[in-house]
Amino acid sequence: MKRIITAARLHLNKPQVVFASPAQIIGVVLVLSAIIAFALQRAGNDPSSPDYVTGARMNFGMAWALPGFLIYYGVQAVATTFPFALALGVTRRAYVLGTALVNLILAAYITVIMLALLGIELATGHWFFGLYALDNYAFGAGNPGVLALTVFLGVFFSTSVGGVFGAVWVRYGSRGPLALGLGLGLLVVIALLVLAPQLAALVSGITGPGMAIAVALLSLLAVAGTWLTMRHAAVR
Amino acid sequence: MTIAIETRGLTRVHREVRALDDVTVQIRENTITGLLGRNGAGKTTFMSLATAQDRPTSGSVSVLGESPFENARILEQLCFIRDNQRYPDDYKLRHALRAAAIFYPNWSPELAGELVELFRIPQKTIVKKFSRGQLSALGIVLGLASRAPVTFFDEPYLGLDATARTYFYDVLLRDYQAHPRTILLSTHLIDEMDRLLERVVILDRGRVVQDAEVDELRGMAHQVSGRAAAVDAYLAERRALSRHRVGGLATAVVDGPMPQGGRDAGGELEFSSVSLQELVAAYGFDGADSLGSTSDAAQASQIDRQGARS
Repeated sequence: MKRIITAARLHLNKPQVVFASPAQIIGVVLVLSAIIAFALQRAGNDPSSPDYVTGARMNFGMAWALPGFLIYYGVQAVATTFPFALALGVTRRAYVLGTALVNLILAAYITVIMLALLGIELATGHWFFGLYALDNYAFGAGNPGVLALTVFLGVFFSTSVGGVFGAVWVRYGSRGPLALGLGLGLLVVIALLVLAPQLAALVSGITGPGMAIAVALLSLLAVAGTWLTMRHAAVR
Repeated sequence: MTIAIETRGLTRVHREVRALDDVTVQIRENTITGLLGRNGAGKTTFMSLATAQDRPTSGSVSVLGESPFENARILEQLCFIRDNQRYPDDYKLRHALRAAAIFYPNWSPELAGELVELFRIPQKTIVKKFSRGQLSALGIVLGLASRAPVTFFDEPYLGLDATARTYFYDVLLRDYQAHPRTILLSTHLIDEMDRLLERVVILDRGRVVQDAEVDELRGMAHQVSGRAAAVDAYLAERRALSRHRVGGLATAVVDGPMPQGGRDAGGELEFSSVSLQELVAAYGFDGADSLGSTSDAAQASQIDRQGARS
């Protein structure tokens, strides 16, 4: 465990990337959401009307703003930090597990920020003027439990998937991520074609807990894939 | 004598290319060993395999008595900053130093600070934007200040000016004397660095052609020059490591000690000692002269090995 923590410390060596960047992104989305909400109200929308609330809760800015950064973070954590870690005598196993540990820390950190902001949002009557940034349908419409689970798993999934792409890049060069992306895309298309007749029933049968379990399993699969790929990867 | 790195039949094949071919060698503990040879001789591959950054196609490597691959106890005693080392995005000097300090219990911030000053490494520039010399300097800082029990330097002087190289040699010797450890160093600047080296391993086309003490190696070959016919006659019963002919004159680096007196009986030939650099160049010689010699040294070493096996 000591060696895994040491590998994790390498990722936390530049805390502004791990901690400051996501906080800044969340802050920017909050400000942009406030500007849009203010503009809508200036245009005559009544923030107390049910239609406004329904529309405002469709604001998924917070959900869509972070994955880009998180996937980049996951890719670079493996692709550029891995060669340096090996130079300093880290094992591949400790590196992959240390990276997963930091991804969990990052997921917990972002979850705490979002929960705190949701708390403020709800306590202040949506920032005193009908701003719905965290209280949206993607995060459970104000349910802290749903928000915590969604954000935590979403962050861990994004960074883990980024890690797999970083790993195949390290091992197979630029053709690796391309092949993996095409392969996954093809898999999804085939699955859709095969399941097309039952798709409506399947979608309506998806439950929150079911989705959470699926995302958690896919994240663990991504970590295992990273480990299997990195185990035989040579540093170039 | 304790062995720090030992390989047996170590081979690494990249598609068609045998980067390392049946390398059996022992690197002694607490010595500075030079890994010499031409570009593509297999020096970096050897270091990559010894530090488990790559895996052999066949053969074995052990470091401090154990296989290094996924062996945390061994790997944490190694430091290998490559000549083209990649650093995490947006790293600056302080991040690299702080990272190395996490991993090495013997890390010396004083030595790191001294070297940063000597090499004038910029503090605020992103490592990705460093010049070739600044990258080399950073690699030297990390390698030396780590005081790792087994430290690898892969052509650490690339892009360094003469002053910086002198600093490196001086600090390396000083710190090595104060804190003995195993240092394996690949270089082409052999004349400049031979005072640092205690042993050398010479690789050519992925094979070991020499593995000896530096002093021993210096007496193992000599140079002969004179009229081409006389040189040819002299070489008839000797092993030429390299040959060059210009018009009617020829020179050759010849395996074996120099004849006593430094002249032949007929007075037609002149003999001289060869420097380590000349010897390494001779071992990597491809015979591109009018005598049509091929790599005699490599052939000879192969014959020797075959003889040893039979």
